[in-house]
Amino acid sequence: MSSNQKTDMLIDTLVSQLTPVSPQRSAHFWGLLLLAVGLAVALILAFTTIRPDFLTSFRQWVMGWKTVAPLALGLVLSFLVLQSSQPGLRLRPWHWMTIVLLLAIFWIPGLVDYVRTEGEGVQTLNAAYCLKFVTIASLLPLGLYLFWLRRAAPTHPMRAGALAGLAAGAFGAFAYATHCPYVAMDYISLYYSLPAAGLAMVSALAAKYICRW
Amino acid sequence: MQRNQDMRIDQKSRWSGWMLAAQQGDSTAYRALLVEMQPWLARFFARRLAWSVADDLAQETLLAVHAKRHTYDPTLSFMSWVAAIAHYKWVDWVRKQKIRGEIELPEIIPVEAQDSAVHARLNIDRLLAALPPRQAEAIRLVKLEGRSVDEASVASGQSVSLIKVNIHRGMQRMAKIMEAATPQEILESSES
Repeated sequence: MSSNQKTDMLIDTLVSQLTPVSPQRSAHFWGLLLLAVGLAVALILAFTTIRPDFLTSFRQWVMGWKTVAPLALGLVLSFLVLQSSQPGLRLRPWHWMTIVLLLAIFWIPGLVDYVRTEGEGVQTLNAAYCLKFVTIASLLPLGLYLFWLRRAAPTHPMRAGALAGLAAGAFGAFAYATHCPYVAMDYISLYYSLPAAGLAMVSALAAKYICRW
Repeated sequence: MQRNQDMRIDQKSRWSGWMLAAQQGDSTAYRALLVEMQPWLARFFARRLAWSVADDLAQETLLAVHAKRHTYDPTLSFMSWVAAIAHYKWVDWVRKQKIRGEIELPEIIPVEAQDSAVHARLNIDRLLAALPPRQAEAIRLVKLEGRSVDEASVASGQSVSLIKVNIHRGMQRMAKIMEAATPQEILESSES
């Protein structure tokens, strides 16, 4: 059979299999993400408790910093996951610059605190507890990202997966911050970031295999 | 020149309209789109690879377009969307060849496709120019001129193992350059 005949047959088959499809809308993504993050917060509060001074704690700027910075990072990274999921859209330098800026906002105070206190804040036995709950809270958003990426058409699956893992970790940190009583910035920078880094690696590998198309 | 540009604009809006109709289940529009896209895709790949591979990749891209048609957003450019899919298929093909250790650059120049072969060669030359000279030389001697590794070693003064290493590293770097191409660059290179 010649190549032209094969192509004609392929086109016939594809046309015969045509069914109406709903175009993938970014509004669906944001709606599902809102639900996933809401559920992650609910999960944390169900397993632990909201910190008793949650509202008054915002008088300390550390509380605002440890909730708003991961939330902003999660939102920006989610936008990049969305961009990465569609062929023809590309990530621009300012996207990366925004990520670097937000990471700096999250890490620099921690680093300064670490130097100032000689790492007193990070030396705690409670770290495993925080790492566990941040990771648990990240799983729902991560599942959503991977589901979305699998259905979409990422042209750089590993990069999209890594961004998804980071975003999920950021939302996990945000959810956990509603419970976490710690205010030591070096502690927060380190132990809120570690799950995101781990999830980014796992998610990049997962995306490599599940987002083949 | 002006006529060509008008035809391209006409084609872009026509394809975009057909895709929109196809998303709603219009099989006539879908058939027209696939029939018109196939030769465009074959040319896209023939500028980068041998014709025999170009046809296969064009068919694979049609399959991908079918499977992922819900990801086309009508508010964005259809050409960028389809070119990004084709580019992904091209990079994926190169990566698979690299894994199998049998990268084939378009050294086969079919008589009936001189123009595309020249384009393919120009694209390869552009990629080679971005590599360190010794990697480019190793790839040119072995992959383009068809010399054995031993012959390339004598011709270039690089040891046999260095030739192999330079080919491997050069191929990796070329794949990265290809992956990093922007949708605009992909479109420009396919329309040049």
